[in-house]
Amino acid sequence: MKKNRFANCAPQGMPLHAIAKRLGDWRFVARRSSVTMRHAPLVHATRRWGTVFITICAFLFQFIGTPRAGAYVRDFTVPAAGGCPQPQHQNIAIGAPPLARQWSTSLPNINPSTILTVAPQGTAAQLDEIEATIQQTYAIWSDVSGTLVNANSYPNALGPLGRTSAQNACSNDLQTNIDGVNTICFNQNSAAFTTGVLSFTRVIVANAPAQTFGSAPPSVFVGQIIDADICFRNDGHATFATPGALATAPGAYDLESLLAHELGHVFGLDHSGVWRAIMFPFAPPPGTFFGDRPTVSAPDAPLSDDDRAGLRMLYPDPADTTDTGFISGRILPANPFALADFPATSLGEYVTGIFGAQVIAVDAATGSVAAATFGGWTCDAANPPPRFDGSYTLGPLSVGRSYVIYAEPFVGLVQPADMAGAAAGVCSAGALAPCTLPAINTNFAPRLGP
Amino acid sequence: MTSYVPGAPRFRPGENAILFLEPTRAGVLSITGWGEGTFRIRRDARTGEMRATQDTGATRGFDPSARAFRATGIRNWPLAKLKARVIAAETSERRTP
Repeated sequence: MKKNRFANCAPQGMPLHAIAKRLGDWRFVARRSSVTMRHAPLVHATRRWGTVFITICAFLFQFIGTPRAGAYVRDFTVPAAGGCPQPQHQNIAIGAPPLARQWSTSLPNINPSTILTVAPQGTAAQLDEIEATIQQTYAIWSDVSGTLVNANSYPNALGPLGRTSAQNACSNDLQTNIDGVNTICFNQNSAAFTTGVLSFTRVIVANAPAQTFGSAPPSVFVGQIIDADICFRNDGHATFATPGALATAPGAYDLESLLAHELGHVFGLDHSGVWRAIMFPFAPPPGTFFGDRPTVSAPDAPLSDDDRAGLRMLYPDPADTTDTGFISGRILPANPFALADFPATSLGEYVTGIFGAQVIAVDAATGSVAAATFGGWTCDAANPPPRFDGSYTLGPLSVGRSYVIYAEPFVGLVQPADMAGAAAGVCSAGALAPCTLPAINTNFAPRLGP
Repeated sequence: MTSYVPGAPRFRPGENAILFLEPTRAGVLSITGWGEGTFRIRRDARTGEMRATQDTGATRGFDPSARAFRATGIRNWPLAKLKARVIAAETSERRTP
């Protein structure tokens, strides 16, 4: 969903209560095969993947407030037959059929117009301009290197962009009309369009192979996104402009920015906690756009490195030799007895780490957010269900670079159910829940590191 | 099958929440601004006091330029304070022609 943070009815402008507390610097140097910690940090790097040369300079914690799943976030589905949660993504793989996609040429017939273009309203040229914007926005994602979505390396990953004249071509609020074609609709009604909501993506996911929904082809794997349809607000409470028309439509939202965000959901990404990421849940103000416009030399310019890392995590290119590094570790409370009151999340399994921490890697040279993740659990495929041990994994990261790690443990007042679907999906499997999401100890007392 | 909409609030059976609702064109009530109109109610384990946190207040963004996590919205307010705020806002709204 993309929302307008500047036009909503909820109370706003409340004072911030967040106070950053720096817990001291822990410098530990990664050698080729291990990480040596010179002080006892709250974050324990336990293993290392790939060949990243890591210098973790500092950890910045905030203990006051309520963190949530941030950074690039994947959603998970627990197999109907049991087992570990599987990341949700499209069936984009070598040998897989191209991603089916289309858009509905049905536009709201209201005055003033909802979709603003340079071309005159109601003309074929307007449809061409909208379609060009859609194509350009898809190219934002398909230009990301090191992925199976990349158009240069895998030109057949995405199918041709089709057109349909049907007004209600997207899956609807009743979750019917599932056709397996990822569709963009500009004129479909939905009860989801309340104040402040500009656009959203409805995602249908299989939790078993060979499942069929509507007219969509059978699923191939657990976690496969069967259908992901995008709806833009169509009631006249918001207008959207193509990049060419935005300059003369200061009250309109940038169609490209919003669509780039929603396409991230189509590919399987949830919301990011990184402010400059395209997957950040709030839209840029009217008349503006996120980051940079795509260019011929850099079609993916609007994305942040966090967005790119998320796509690489979902669709890794086996031929990629650059983005192959991972940083992993665990977020643990300073006082392990703080976890003693947590009940077992499954038979014999207790909470042994901070669940729901967001961990962010900042490129030490450029200062940009290279990758970020939401962590707190692991799952051994040979021995499910998930264990809530505070584990996280950052990446894929470019090898041969240094990163500063920021982490915010999930301590405080929010229950896991408040968090993104990434948390909700870890234990959900229909009637047969393999585990119970851990509750949060509100008596948790933050401590400064040694 | 799983169906979800990223950003839409999810609820558990028995969960306490205050929701700001509005009618939609479809003739049903929906949550205003999704996470912005959703306030989760918790009981403070130490004091027993009921407290409210707005879903979007629970969202902490990482600001790359400041190298810090930041959040906006209502977070961990006493429930009585939230109710007083709502009543005050409603009263103010009624007075405004």
